[in-house]
Amino acid sequence: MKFTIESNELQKVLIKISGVVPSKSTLPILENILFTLNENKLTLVATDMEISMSASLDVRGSENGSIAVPAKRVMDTLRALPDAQIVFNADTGNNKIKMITENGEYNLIGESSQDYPAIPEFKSSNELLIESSVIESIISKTVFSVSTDELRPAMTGLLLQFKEKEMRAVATDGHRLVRIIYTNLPQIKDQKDIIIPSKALNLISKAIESGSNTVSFSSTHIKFSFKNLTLTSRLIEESYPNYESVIPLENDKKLLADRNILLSAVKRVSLYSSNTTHQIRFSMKKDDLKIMAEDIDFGGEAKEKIACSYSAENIEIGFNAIYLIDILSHIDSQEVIFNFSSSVKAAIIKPVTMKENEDVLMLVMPMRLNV
Amino acid sequence: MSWSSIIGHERVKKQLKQIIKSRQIAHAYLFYGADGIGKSALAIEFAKVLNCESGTEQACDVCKNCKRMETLQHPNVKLVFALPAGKGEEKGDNPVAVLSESQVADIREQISLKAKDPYHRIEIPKANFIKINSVRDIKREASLSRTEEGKKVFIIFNADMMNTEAANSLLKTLEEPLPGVIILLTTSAKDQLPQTIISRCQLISCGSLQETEIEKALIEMEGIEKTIARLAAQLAQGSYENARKLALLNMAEERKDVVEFMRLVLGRNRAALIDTIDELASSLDRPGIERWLKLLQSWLRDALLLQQNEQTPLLDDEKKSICNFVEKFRNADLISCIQAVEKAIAHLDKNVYLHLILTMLAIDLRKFITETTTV
Repeated sequence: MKFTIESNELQKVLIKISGVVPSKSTLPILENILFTLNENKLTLVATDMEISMSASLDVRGSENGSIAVPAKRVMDTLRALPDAQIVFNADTGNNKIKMITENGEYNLIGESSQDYPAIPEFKSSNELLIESSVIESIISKTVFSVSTDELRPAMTGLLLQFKEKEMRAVATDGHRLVRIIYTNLPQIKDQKDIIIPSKALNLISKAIESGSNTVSFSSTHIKFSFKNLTLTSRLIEESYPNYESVIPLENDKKLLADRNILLSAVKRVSLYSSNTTHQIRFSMKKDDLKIMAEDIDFGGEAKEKIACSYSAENIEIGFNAIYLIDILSHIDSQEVIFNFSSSVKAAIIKPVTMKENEDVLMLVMPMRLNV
Repeated sequence: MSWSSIIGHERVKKQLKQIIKSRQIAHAYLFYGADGIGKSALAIEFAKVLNCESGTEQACDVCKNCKRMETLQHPNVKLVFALPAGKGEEKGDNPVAVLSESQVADIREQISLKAKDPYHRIEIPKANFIKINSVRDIKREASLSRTEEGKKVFIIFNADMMNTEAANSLLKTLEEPLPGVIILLTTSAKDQLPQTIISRCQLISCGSLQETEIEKALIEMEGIEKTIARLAAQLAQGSYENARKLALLNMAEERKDVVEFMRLVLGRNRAALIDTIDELASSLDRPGIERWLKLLQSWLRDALLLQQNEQTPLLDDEKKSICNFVEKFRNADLISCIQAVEKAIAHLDKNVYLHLILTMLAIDLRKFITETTTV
């Protein structure tokens, strides 16, 4: 296998897919990236057996072939090189690789491409054409509330539910929940719910390219195809808990506030909350919201008043400040609406202005106030 | 590897084949029995057959899945064993990624040794227990969809090495894994496993190996000389691992020592006897003495057999001495002698002073052999 390429171009693509390469693994072959050259197209593949990424780029090829290249070694070399033209020459017979620049020659030993695990092929039952910006927005708005608790593996991923022309993305860790409904999608045939591991989401959000993308999925795998990049991930095969039942329907007390003012107030006040509970308290009267925090163990107390619009009866409710900050910083509207019913029931937070075809709902469980 | 290359365990093999044939495969099996008898060999072969494309109770050894099982690199089969704790390892870390380069290299080497020899014991320095992060990894992996068709099998070697946290954390997965997930556990200390683990598994009881089975395997698989093989098999207490270790020791020499010791016990030169005891007690450690006592016991056993039946086949190197002995002490109470050795081994376990054990033994042996003869 032999081709010529600019070092920074190769590096740019390698950085995108090398996030998948496990740093240490019991399967040594996984620490490699598979290089395959076909005419003037070089395809790079990385996998950790859970997620596979492949990327292709144009090179000046002169000899087709395929070889597994040690990821760390080649990345380190490229990082240390100035922008230069590299001739990449691999002998697929004895797996010896030679990288030649104008002044230098770097030899390394690869592995046979035969030993490299294949990217899983799956029969996709459905395909969706989605704008990158939509994928990005789904991921950024949900991934923060995905659970890390391995006791309930289902919740360690993002649930995608499909109904006629509608897709729901749901993430929860039991304390907070995000649900986004996208409507007006092309018809989706009876597709079962799928759960995408959060690791795959993080990798996509890093590697995403602008433009429109195809997302294809079956009940076992999902594949994101961008222009020059694909990511295939295994899915979590657990059944997702019935999240609908925790979304209260009769939250009649409405509070409207400016998101930025509220967010910065919560951030300031939370500095004075207990380090273990992070509890802050919302006290609401007519058009008046008081945010309070108190650290009984170490002393210290903070209060702040915020203008808002509120017309229901007086109520006090406690929250974990971290959850609230997370939620408020992942909403992109100028103002937010809180819906409460009582101090022991979940609060719903929604942006006031939403994009077309998108319905965002965030939910946070209250903390019991011991007064 | 195939069923036939696993030594002995005919009953267990039949049971496992029956399970595969019936296609009623439980979600968890616990293989228990003494150390070194090949429980993990059985578990690995079971995993291989479960994933073999042929779908029969015998692995075909030609399909892609069988080939990958040969090197234990099958993506659907995950091996779990004790690992050292990583530097600054935290909850949820990958149990392997936190280790140093050299430790990872150790693990890879151990896996490849295990692949070549299923009787190899995976031993990684500083690995004292199965980490909870390894169990978390099982849970994560078990909840993901399969990379390819077949059963997802987790083999937990020496499950008793899980600490309480790890064992408790496994319970939920062990109780109701997703369809297609099978967890195989092996242990030589079933009593040390929590009841909660045991009760969630189908139990596969693996008995100790027969002496003849071990002897045959040593000769055929390791190319060990017949005399040594037989001796090692006798002393191995049904464990192939023990037998292999014993076979590598210089047992012929030790056996000569045993005969020499018997001569001194029955002779008049008490000073020489005491010297020999001194030398034995100072040159061998306790396991060494135990092995030596077992050799003595097997020699006495052979003598007993010969005493009862002159046609008893004997090993070449001992024939002469045993024949002479039996000839001379026709009425020796050899059963009591064997019991005396047994008692000495028991004392050894109780940490009694070595010289005392051996001296007592010498006195007892002399008594049982000579006194009955004179009566």
